[in-house]
Amino acid sequence: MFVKRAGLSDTIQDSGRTGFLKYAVPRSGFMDAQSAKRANTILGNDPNDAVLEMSIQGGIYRFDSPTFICVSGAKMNFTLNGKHQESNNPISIQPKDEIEFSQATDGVYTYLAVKGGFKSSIRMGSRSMYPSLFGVSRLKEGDMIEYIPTDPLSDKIDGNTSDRSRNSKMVVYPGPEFTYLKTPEQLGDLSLKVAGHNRMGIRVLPSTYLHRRHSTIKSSVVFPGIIQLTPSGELIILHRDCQVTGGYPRVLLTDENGLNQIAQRRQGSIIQFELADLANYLGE
Amino acid sequence: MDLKFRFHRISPEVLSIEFEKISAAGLSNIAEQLESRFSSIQDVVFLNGVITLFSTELNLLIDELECFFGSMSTTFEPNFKTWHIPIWYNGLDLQLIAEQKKISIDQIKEIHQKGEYTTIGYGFLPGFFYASGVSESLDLPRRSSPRVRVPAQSVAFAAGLMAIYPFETSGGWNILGTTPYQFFDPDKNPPVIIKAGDRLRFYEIDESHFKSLQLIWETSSDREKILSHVC
Repeated sequence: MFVKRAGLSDTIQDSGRTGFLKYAVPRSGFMDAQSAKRANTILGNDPNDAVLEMSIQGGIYRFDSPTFICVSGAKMNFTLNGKHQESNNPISIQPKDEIEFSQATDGVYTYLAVKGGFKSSIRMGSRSMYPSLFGVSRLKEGDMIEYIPTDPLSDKIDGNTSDRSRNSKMVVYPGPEFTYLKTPEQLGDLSLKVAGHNRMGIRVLPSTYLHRRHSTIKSSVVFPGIIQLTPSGELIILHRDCQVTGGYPRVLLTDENGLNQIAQRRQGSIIQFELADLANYLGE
Repeated sequence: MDLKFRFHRISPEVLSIEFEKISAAGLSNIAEQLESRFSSIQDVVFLNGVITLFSTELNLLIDELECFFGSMSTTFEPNFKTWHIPIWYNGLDLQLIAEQKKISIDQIKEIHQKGEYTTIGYGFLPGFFYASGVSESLDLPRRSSPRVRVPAQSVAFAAGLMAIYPFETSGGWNILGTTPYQFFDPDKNPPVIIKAGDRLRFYEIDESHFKSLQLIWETSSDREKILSHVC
């Protein structure tokens, strides 16, 4: 696949790498794993196959051999040779076909899966692009991403267009430094505004002040799903490319669903938490 | 001495084990043992007396761990290596450090080279290690505002810790100089040579020596050998 015009922040992502956190290499992987896996599943791929992850604004991509593609995730209008196409649906591709994306009308991350998955280079066990492993942070115009051509006539693919609500409350659990929060019983009434968004984390501003006390902690382990409280009163929901250690109190924690959900919430949007029982989550 | 520890389950797949009074080398040694012994451990992070294990089969693993720690010998023979790291004292912050600590740049170099630093673990960025042992006569807190660009391979310190930036990035540590060696190689497994518990010593080189060592490092097939003595 030839990148004729790159989107705002295109990367190749699969389900990420394991085994290298000890060298401070993050796991990375699909920001909204549910959407990326859906696109793969619709094509009959392994759900963990590498896909193109676009953020807010997609690009123009040209295919040079026959295959199928499927688009899922944030709603982004797109055309095949100028003709409007539907997401969550397998689309047959012929040589020289061009797919053009516009801006996302809702959500943040849109996925383009190709039959068999993209065969881009692997670093430390994964195709997920991460700046210091790949030397670049995103795809650029002129890049070529390999895939294995498929004869369109020989494959029968079943579509599946299930979707879900992204606007429900985000389930959170008490984190290791939960006691640093003031009035945790009122967490469910808070409205939280998404203030910043990247692959490392999503910053949200709570409507009231949450500190019981001002403090940092001894540098401790963090991972995607950990929610930190910063000295200025922001919450940071750590995401796929987050660091492995941090010094802010880890007041809350969300799960895989929460991560997928928050990945698609745009800057400026309002979210709400629902505090759930940790013991239950841990299966105790 | 008994090895005292406590388990903290953080999530269904994440378990932290907090040890009382343990050295960086001891911690690294246990982490390594756990990882090689239990294949259900997918990732391990260790820092500041805590080992954190990531596993999709955590319940099973916890049972096995209790058994393992129950029978484990409580004395450790932490095996660490000493590495010799060349530094060209061309750091952006040398003058500022001299002013703040009221010492000369020559004294900064001398104090820095006298020190032995113990690696305590990785964090912040791929291949970024923390090492303890910065002398009080040199030590400073982080800069009040981080630099937008810290050059790759900068040797820097802050709040008692020494580190080497593996890549160009933003950062707030006080920069002493640059090493010609690149310590993180994503194409190698393991991607690093320096392990937690290892000791680091620095020695001064000049610009021309820097360039020749850089070339030696890049073309060498035995980087451990280069790093184990003063070149």
